[in-house]
Amino acid sequence: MASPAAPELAKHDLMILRKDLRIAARRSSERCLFHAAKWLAEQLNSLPQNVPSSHHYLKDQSSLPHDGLDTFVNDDEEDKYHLAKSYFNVNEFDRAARVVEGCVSSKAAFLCLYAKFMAGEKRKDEESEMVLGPLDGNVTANKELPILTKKLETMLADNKEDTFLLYLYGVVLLKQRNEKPAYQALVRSVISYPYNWATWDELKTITRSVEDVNRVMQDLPDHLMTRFFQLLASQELYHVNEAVYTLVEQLTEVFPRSSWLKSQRALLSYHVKDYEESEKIFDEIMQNDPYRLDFLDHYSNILYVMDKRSKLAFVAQVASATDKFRPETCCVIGNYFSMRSEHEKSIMYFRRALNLDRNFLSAWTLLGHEFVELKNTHAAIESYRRAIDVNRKDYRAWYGLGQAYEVLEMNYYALYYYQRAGALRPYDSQMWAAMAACYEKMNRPDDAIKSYKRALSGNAGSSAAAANQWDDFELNTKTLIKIAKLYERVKRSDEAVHYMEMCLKAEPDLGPSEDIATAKNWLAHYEKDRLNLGRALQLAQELFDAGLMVEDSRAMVRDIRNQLDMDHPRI
Amino acid sequence: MTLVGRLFSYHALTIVSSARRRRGSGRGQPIASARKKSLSKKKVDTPATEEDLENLSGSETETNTIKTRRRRRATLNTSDTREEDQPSPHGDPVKKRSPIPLPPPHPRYSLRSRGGTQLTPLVLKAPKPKLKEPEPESEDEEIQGLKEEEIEHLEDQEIEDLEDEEIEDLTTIPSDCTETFGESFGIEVPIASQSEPEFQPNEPEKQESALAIEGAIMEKFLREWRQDAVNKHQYDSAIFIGDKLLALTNDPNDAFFLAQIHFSTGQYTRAQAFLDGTGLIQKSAPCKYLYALSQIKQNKYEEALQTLGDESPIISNPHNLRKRGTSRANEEKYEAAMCYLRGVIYTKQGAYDKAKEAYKTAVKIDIRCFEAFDTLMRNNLLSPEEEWEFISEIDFDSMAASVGGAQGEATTQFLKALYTTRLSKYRNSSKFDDAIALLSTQYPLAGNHDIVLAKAELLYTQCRFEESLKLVKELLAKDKYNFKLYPVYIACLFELGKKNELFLMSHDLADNHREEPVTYVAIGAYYMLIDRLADARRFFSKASVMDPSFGPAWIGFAHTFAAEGEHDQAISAYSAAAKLFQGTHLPQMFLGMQHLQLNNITLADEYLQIAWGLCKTDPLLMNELGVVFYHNEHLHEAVKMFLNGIKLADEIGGDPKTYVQFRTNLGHAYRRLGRYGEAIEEFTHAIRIGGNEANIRCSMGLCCLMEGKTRDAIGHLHEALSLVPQDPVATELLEQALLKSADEPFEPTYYLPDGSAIVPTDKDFDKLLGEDKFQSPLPSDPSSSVQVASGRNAGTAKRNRVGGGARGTRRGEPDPSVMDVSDSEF
Repeated sequence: MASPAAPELAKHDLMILRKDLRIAARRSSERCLFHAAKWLAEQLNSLPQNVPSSHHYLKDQSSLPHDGLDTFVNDDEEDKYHLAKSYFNVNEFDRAARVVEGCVSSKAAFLCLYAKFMAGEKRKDEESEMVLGPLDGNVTANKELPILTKKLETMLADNKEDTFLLYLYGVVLLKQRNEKPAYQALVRSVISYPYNWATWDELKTITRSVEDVNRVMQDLPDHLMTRFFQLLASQELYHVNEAVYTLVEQLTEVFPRSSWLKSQRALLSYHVKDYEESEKIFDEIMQNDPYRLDFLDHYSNILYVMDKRSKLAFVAQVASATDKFRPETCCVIGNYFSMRSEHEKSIMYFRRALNLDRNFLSAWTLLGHEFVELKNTHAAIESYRRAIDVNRKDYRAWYGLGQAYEVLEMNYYALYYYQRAGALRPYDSQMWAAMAACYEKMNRPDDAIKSYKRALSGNAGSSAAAANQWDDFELNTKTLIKIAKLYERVKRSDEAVHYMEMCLKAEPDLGPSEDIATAKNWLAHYEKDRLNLGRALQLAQELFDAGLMVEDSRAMVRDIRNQLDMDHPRI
Repeated sequence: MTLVGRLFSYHALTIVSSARRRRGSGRGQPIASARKKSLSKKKVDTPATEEDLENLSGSETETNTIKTRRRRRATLNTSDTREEDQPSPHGDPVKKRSPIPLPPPHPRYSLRSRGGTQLTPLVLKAPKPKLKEPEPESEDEEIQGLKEEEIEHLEDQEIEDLEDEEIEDLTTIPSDCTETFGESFGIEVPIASQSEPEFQPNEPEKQESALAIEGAIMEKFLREWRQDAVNKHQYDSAIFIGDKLLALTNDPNDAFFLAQIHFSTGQYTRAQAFLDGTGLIQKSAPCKYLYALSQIKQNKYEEALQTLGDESPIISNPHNLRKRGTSRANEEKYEAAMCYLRGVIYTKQGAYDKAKEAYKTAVKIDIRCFEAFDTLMRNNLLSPEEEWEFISEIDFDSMAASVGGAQGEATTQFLKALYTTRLSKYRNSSKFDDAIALLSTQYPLAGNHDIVLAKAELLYTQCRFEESLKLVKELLAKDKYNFKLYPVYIACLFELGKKNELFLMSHDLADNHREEPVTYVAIGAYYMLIDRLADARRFFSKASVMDPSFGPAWIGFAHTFAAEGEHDQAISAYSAAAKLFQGTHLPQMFLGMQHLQLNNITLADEYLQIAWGLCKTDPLLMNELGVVFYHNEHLHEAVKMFLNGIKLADEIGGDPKTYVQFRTNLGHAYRRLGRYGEAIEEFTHAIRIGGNEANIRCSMGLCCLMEGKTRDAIGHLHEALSLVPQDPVATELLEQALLKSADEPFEPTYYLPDGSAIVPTDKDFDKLLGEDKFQSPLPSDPSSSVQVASGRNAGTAKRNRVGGGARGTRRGEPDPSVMDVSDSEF
């Protein structure tokens, strides 16, 4: 992943970019890919203000690419297409599909299939009934999919590189969990037309690990849009490093006014637990674009973690004033209620978010958290599972699943899920500690020791710059003591002593604490047993002086003194 | 005689149209809806073939064309007769044998005879020969024509439910009479198919020119009146006038006509008694025929058989017979019709083999005996081989001979094509296509509903339900109550799960056609679709009681048992169906499937082999056979069978969704062979074409587990459980997979700020923690990178061991995926 050179965009290049984005936005919107169109138009409008708008250059029809994406084979199809599109716009999907059935022009053909797909999705949502009900989830499938697959396969055989058809094919395959061919279709789609944001958006769901992203990057064209994708994919994988920051910088140079880029940056900060920075950026976004709801759910998560209740309430008010029935809004409100420990209410809001969009990831995860709070483990498991179905990169859901299974004492299950979470965030000590706890319960102390050691490497609390270090240790005394005790259990006292001593080393930084007392106590006993009475006495005395474990240490001091006296009777 | 002859001669012309009418009253073909079987998820295909194109008369124009053609033929016949009639040793049997005087061709004679006579027809005997002389040939011709047509005509009646349709029939008869006997009936009646009475100007003129006596005028008047009454379905007046007419003329033709009217009013006993009274039965073939038919209508099968005699005529060499001439041919037509009646009786008596023979004989004697042909095809009495053999035995050339010349050649081809479309589509599909092509290119029959229906059935057989449904719907739009269409229609709706449409349709049928078994099949199918099996069974059973030879009803009935897992009852119901429909492989296949479910692999194999013998082109049957191989541990054969099935399915070009089962089963076979990669590929394919079953996901999980891809396995198993949360197999496999994954080393990749990745080993952490100073690590704690590497290998080894263990347990318990195969089968 060599960091790409900053795109030196001359004015002319900017002009071309502007034209391309404009065409792309129009194409997406003509195909009713509304979200992609919105994104593209947003980026289009966040280009620097001083881009010369060469009138003729932008308006000239002849400058349209000759790839057949914009033309109709005849007027008849064009009229039909307009009718279908207007039906689509009012959510009459089946009707729309029927109107353009059999059309061969790119736009009409795509609209036909897409409308069918949407009709199937709509029916699927309706048939799923209640969120988390018996019919929710994979049980209810989009019944149009097999037909669409077949049609798309025939159409793609004739018209090999229609980017939008390839996109739809990829989406359909993804819905059927057929990832390899889906990946190929999507990659083909972006290669043939990189400005197809819908495809990029879909492609990111396939990349499940940083390796995946790196591999994908090799297949992709070197293009401005590829960088957007790289940024998005890395962000979603919590893969924050200098290269990603450089990427944001470069893109921000081209699109200085892009709120989307800003929110990506805020999320990056969030992932490395730099909440203040993240909050700052979100505040900025809210000021510049007061009615923007995108990513607001993440903002509410940040505020939740920062325990800023009043600000969360404020954001919730803003959001619900803008649109009560957006999943983002519902999530913000749900978070607010969760913070007030009104878990039933918050569950209600998360459910509402899911009713609005069953693929809304953060709502699933948050719903799982709420169920955990209510000790409804099974519901929590189901919610987390759905979260993972939507996005396998959400370590919180994996971790939540692990926790839930741990509660149910299904340690193998728990371990597996913790491992998945750990694979996403190997430097997060929480994951490793959880894994180690599982190993302990499974009576595998060796494995537990290994996991604890890795937990020591975690430094999740430190600053962004060091976020991904694996060899930087935080001397977590609790973990050290656990390791030592486990070593004791497997009868390897040398190692046990080693870790207890390490624990003592932390004393100057942390001051006296219970863990250190435990370590001292343990060492005192150990030294005493080895008849190293001087050290033992010293440790016990230290303990006694610090006022920790008074009873025990006093007894030990007396005991050791007696022994010393016995060995070297005072004259 | 002439009268009667003419009267019936019309029927030859109308065979087609009457056939259409009959079809209108329609019993569906059994098999199409047999497909209902699809219940069992494994959509088996139908031998829909038997569906016929029997009727040519989708549109008026066509009918007209045919008629004209026929007329031409009739004319030709006449000349033939003239040449050959007299010399023939057998002559017209009726003529020879019967003492009955043939009625005078011209009114004057009748009048005369009437003058001196009582009502007995015998009295008329004497004059007849005399009368004959003036125009012997034409008379003969008429007679012959009369007989053959009459028979066919009566058959029509018999078959129809004698309601509206029958009445229509009658109407047409006389109307035709009008043409032929312009003089005697002189009425212009619009023929059903609007054909103009073109003949009227010709013959009547001739005849009229012969004589004009007042008595004749009187008679003519009465006949017109009678005819008019019949045309208006005013049978009472027809009977009244007919009776008077008979009294006047004492003409056997009038007697016969009166009997006909009695018959048409449904007074079979009266018709029978009346015929008894005339004493014509043994003398005149039409009378005998009508008599037998009346008996059949009264369910007096034994007696009818006695009337007819149970000896089929021996046809040593039909070709020779044919060549002997039209008179002979006409006689054959009677024989054919009577053979057909025998077949009907045998069917009613349950002697299906005899019935089959009788029908076959009927067609062989006279290819125009479509009734018999239709019965054979519609009920699948013949196996596909037999059918093709049979059609090659049919002597189409006789047609050519009777028509003569190039015309004859064309007629032969035409007829042959028509009949071919009715044949089973299991064999010689190329010939079938040729026939369709001929009918649609050379004749304007491309849109004819029989042809289209045949296409729809073919599509249905190939599991292309949407397309099939589209065709059927187009047909229904033109002719809503064409019951022939309904079995396919119902079956398609059922396959596609279109509850609502099925609901509306069955309600419509129930409101308007309570007398049709297909109505109850539709209702049954609807209930089956909404899983109310008990109700479904009730309606299927009702349908089968109404018409015991209605295949869809039987098979639907059996399906309700199969769906409830009542295998024994299902088997007996399927067996009954198998006895009735020997020409289709479906019942046999269902029997095989039931036995497969009961784990009687040997029996299943037997039945499936029988089915295989009947039909080698049903991909789904191949699937079943593959499953049998699979269960018998002949995995390679199973794979081959599945692959062939897929190939066949591809050739047919059916809906890929239907073939999910193939892919899945193929995957299972690969899995059992240890070819996990291919197995996973097949499963993936199955999912892409629409299979979304826990079973498939679960099998994929197992394969991944075997291949050591534990994480993938866990993913697949989770998918399976998300579909069927309590699936025991998946749960157990998942447990195993998770245990295994817990044993595998877990060393994720760390990404450093500069973007590089590193996979630190546990040892690296030891080093960082200053632990490397301890020189004596526990054996379980590999302490050097090298050892870590070997530790990984050890992990692999262990994994294999675990895999082996897993396989061991699989063997021990009934292999779950095997169970899955059979489950999904049904």
